[in-house]
Order: sequence, then structure tokens, then C-alpha cells
Amino acid sequence: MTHGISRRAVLRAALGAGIASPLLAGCGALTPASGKPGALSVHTQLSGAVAGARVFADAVAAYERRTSRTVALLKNGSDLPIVFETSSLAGAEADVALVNLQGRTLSWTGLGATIPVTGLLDDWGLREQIIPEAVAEWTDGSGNVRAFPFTRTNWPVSFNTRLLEQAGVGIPTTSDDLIVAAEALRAKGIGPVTVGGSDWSGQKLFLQIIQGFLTAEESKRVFASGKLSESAGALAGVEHFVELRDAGVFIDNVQGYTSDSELTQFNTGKAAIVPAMSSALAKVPADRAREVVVGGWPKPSRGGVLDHPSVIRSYNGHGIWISENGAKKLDLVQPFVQYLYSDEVTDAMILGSGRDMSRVTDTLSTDFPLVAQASRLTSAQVSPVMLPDLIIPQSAFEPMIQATATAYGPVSVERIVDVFEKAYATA
Amino acid sequence: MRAGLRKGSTVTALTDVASSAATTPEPSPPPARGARTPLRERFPGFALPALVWYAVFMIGPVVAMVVIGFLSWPGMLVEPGFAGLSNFGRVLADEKFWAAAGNSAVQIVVGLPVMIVLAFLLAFYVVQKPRGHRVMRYLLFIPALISAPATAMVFYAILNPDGLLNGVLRPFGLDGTAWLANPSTALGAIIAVELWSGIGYSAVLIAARLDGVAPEIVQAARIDGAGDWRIAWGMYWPIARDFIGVVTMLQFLSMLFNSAQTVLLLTQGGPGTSTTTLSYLVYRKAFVETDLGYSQAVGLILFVLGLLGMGAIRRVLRASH
Repeated sequence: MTHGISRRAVLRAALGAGIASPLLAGCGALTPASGKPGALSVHTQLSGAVAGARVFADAVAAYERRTSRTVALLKNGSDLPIVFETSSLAGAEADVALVNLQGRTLSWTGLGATIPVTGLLDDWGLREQIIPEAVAEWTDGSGNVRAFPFTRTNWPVSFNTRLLEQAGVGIPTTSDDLIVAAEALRAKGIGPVTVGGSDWSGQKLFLQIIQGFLTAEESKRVFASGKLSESAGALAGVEHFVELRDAGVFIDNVQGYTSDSELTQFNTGKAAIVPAMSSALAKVPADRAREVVVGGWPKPSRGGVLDHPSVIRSYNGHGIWISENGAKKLDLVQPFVQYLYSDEVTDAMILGSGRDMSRVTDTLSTDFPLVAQASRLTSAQVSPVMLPDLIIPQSAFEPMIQATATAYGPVSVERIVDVFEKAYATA
Repeated sequence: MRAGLRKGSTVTALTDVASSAATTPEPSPPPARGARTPLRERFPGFALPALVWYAVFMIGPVVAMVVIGFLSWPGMLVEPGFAGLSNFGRVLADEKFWAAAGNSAVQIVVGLPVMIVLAFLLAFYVVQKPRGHRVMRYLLFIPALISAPATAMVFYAILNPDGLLNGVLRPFGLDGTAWLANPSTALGAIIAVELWSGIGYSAVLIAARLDGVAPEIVQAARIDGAGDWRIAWGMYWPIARDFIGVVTMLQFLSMLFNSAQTVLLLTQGGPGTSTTTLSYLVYRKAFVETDLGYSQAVGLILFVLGLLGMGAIRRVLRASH
């Protein structure tokens, strides 16, 4: 049964709309604080349990107290880029974003979601304060610096010497040593190498192992095109990976583990070896850290291009990006960014959280011995290899992680090459 | 044999009585051809806001899904272009899609019947009003009151390598399986989580329908010698069959469309593609890989599969008395 519209119904509808409108309008701001006049909104991946999150939040709070300005922090993890993009479509994105340069963020500056900071580096007096290699790494093909490089990373391999001694082996520096160590560890019921086979941490190790057979130039070519089958070095790298995998170098069911579970395995002494970036090393408990020596991934015993075990080194940590909204209030953004590059904040990040920073500094981590060990590794001990995140096309980045996850399962070299190349299909 | 037949015919007769007892009002005669009701009566009135809401937020997204399925749209910040049928071509040529379709099929074919049968048996038990049956109804409903992330946390604690399940199995020497990380157990673990979430909820719904069965009929069947099993499947099931069909449809849609959240929270589709379901593939392609056209092409296929599945369930579980 239906009813006609009465005058009372119209009145109720109008009243409802009147109440709903201000409520919906309240949803416009990203956070309640960011709606205040003169406030700056900062969208950060330095949040939660991430190394440096607390120090960063404290630094922002200190800035607010000192300047009486509001800085609204909006926090996300690996999902930050998608949240930023959706809010950007609505024109409601944060003024500043602290996020890695990889995958979808590679296209932000080109698409106008964020502004290049090339000129601002000089205007704000930051060029001399930032390591030149970091600026170079954050510069796109058109010469635009995408964002201010803030944190950087070392990606060494951690070895639990107590567990290795228990198994009667030393720190492996070659692939043959690693296979012997894995057998000895397994015989003692200890997991050998733990890694997040299902996520980006497994992807990084896979690419690092392949680079044992690729020169820097060849690596760039292969990771840009994805054509493993057209590179003899890349194919040798994949064969080497399969040889290690089939020799039981990785823990059982490695294909299903994540970056979180790899650290849990290592920190609880269930596995003896973990490739982990410096921010993760900062989270290794002190009693475990005393047993750990930091080094590189064992170099191939036969063939290969490396002189020493390999370490990924990159300036691609978090960058400070300025959005279109932020570009409208550079007067508020400038002092905040300059503050983040002050000695005070840099020292706090290094000493308080063990982060490696892209700012020029002599400060070395003291309370995070593994981070300090990693930054002291010399070219006589390890051979640096690249973090290919900047070279992998945006559309291939995430599909490749699924492809490398497949590689940790019981599949052939041909199958790995096939799924890897298919990940580039839409690139 | 004869006794069995006699019991069977008695039960059938009783259900027939029950169905005929549930009289339905005579439908009002249709309006005479050519007669027009006044505009005031035909106007939806208070239903209008709901219809507008439905049109904007229900039909709108379906239309958007169809449109996006035909676009090349590699990222939300990128200007989309027309792609024709190429997204569907890519989907059908992609082994990840077929792996996801296989996983969804296993999920439905294995998980759904188990869920509905167990829910029906639980509901039957509850309507017998055993001691504490009221409390039991609340307990059965509890999984429906727990959010997906909280459920995932609970099951992560149970299924992780050092979790509760391996702790229970350890004394028997059966521990050591990484339930969520092992390709041979991960999909089973996801189905188990969905069964846990869905059985109690479905049981409460089905019990509400079974409560409507007249106790005199059940009593008469018992006097005739029918046991619990026969009463459950020979009386309650046929009477509640169409309603169970509705519950099955709801759980089918939930499994088909909402499994993405459980997969995302527990396995992210891995190991490899072992737990990638179609709905998770839609999520992953849209929000992780930013391939929006591909994602919505899968969404459209999923939409059609949902319609076909609902039709099949309706056909299998339509009223039979």
C-alpha cells in the first residue's frame, strides 16, 4: 500500500536533510584537527609498530608545542598510497605524505598528485643537508625530485651465531657454505633462513639472489623489462635460487610466511638467518641482538659477479611528499619540513629508533647495535646490490610479488620465469 | 520395510496436513482492465527516499561496475580509456583467475553444504528445547557479533605455527603444520573460519523457522515411532526447505562475495594462489595492483556467477510440499 506525500512528511524530510548536511559536511576533513585554520595535515607510514613511529610522533608534538601550530597526523601502513589516492581524487588529501617510493607512488609526481620539490630543495636550504645520492635516487627521468628523501635503508642479513655454533657451523659466506649450514641447522631442529615468502620481503631476497649473476647495468635492464628469459645472468640467478630452495636453505612452508612472521621466527630463535632491513634490525630484542652478527647474503660459489656476500643498499626509505593541497600552503609546509631535517630530529630518529637517515650526519646509532653494525659494513666485506623498486614498472610491482611468492613453492625454473614475465604483461 | 513405509507415509500425510493447515489469505482480485488508480495511490510516497537511496547506492555501483569492466584504468589517478572486451580476454587468459575460480568453487562446493547441514542439525537440536536452549541460541549467535578482524585475530592465534591448535596436537606428535602457510591446508583453514562464522548464525535463522512447526505434528510422528533423525529429515527439512533455501542463498553470497576479508586478513591469497578467491582477486586487482578494469571484469563475472548460483539453489531447495 502506498501513501501520498503529506505536508508533515515534507517537513520531516527537510528537517532530516538539515540535520544530515552538517554531519556529512563534518566528514570533509581528513581528521578533526586538520580542519582547523592554519593546521597542517601529515599522512605518514611512520606509524604503529614501525621503527621510528614513536620518535616521529614525539618530534611532531614538540613542533606543535614550540610553534603553537597544529599538525594533524593521519596514519596508515602499506595501505597509505591507496588512501592517499582516494582522498586525492576527492581533493581532500593530506598536505604532506611520508611514504616510500615504490609501485604506485612512482607515478604521483608525473600525474600531478604531488609537486616536484626540485626548486624547494634550494629555496629551503635543504640540498646541502641531504646526501646527494639520495637526491639522485629520488629524481625521476624528467629531472624532477619527487620528494624530500627522509629515511634510507640497509638490507643486510642477520646471523644468529649461537644457533650456528649449536649446529657446528660458522657464518656462511658462499652458497655452498649456506647449504651445509642449512643441513646442520635442520639436523638440530633449527630453521635455516626465514623470510616472508608471500610478500615484499621474499621478493627483495629473490631479486637480491638473482643479482648475484647480474651486473648493475644488466640488473636495470632486466628489472625494467622483466625479460628474465633474455638474460643469461638472470636465468643463472633463477637456477641458483632454485638450487638453494631445493637444498632446504629456507624454512619449511616459507611460501606462506610474511615479513612479520620472519622476524618472529628469528627473534624467537626458531630460525638462524634472516635478511632484514635496518628498520627491522632496530626491533630485534637486545638479548637476541647480542647473539647476532650482521653480514651479507652468501655469494654464489660458482659463477656470479660478486666479490663478497651481497647487501641491498638504498636511499629509498620514506620521502616527504607535498600534495596539491600542501602546495597551496607552502608557508606552513616549509618550517615543518625544515624542522624534520634539523639536527634535533635527525639525532632523535637515529638514536631513538635506529633509523638510517638520508640527511648528512655523523651521528651513529648506539642503542641499536645491529643497525650500527649494518652501517659499518665496508666494501671489503660486502658487495652492495640495488633495490630495484625504482626500476620495476608500477603496474608490475605488485603482480611481481605474487610471482616471487610462487618461486618459493615447489616449481621449476621455467615456471618461475614464466610467472615473473607475466607479471610485466600490463606494464 | 513395511513399517518403514507406513511411518514414511504417516509423516508425509502429517506434513500435508501441516501445509494445508497453514492457510493463506485469498489474493485480492486484480483491478479491471483499463481501470486506473489515482496518481496519489500509485505514487510511492514514503518509499521514495528508500527507492532513491537504492537507485543511487545499489543500482549505481552495478552500472559503474559494468562500465569500469570495459575500461582500461591502470590507477585511480590515471585518466581511463575504453578497452572493449580486452579486460575479459586478459581475465580468461590469466591463470590466477582460474586458480581463484577453482578455490571459490571448492569453497562453495565443500563449505556451503557442510555449513547448511550442520546449521540445520543444530537448529533441530535447539528447537527440541533441551536444557539451556535459550542460552544456546545466544551462544550460537555470538560469531555473528564478532567483527571480521577480531575473528581473524582469534584464528591467527589458533592456526599460527606456535598457535593453540599445534599446542593441542603437540602431545600426540602431530604438531608442526603451518596451517595458514602450507599450500595444502591454507584453503581448508579459510573454509574452517567461514564455517565457524556461519554455522551458528544460520542455525539461529533456521531454528526461527523450525519453531513454527506445530508441536502436535511432531508429537504424532513420535507416537507413530519416528526417531529424531527421521523427524529432522522427513518432517522439519521438507517443511523448512524453502526457508533453508533462503539461508543457503545468503551464505552462498557471503562466501562468494565476502571471503575477501578473511583471505586478506589471514593469508593475502597465498601461499602462491592457494587461497586467492574470486572476491579477493577483485580486491587485489583494484586496490593492490591498481588494475581497475581487470578487477571489475572479474567483478562482473562474479556477479553473473552469483545470479546463476542463486538460481541453482532456488531450484534445488524450492518448497516441496
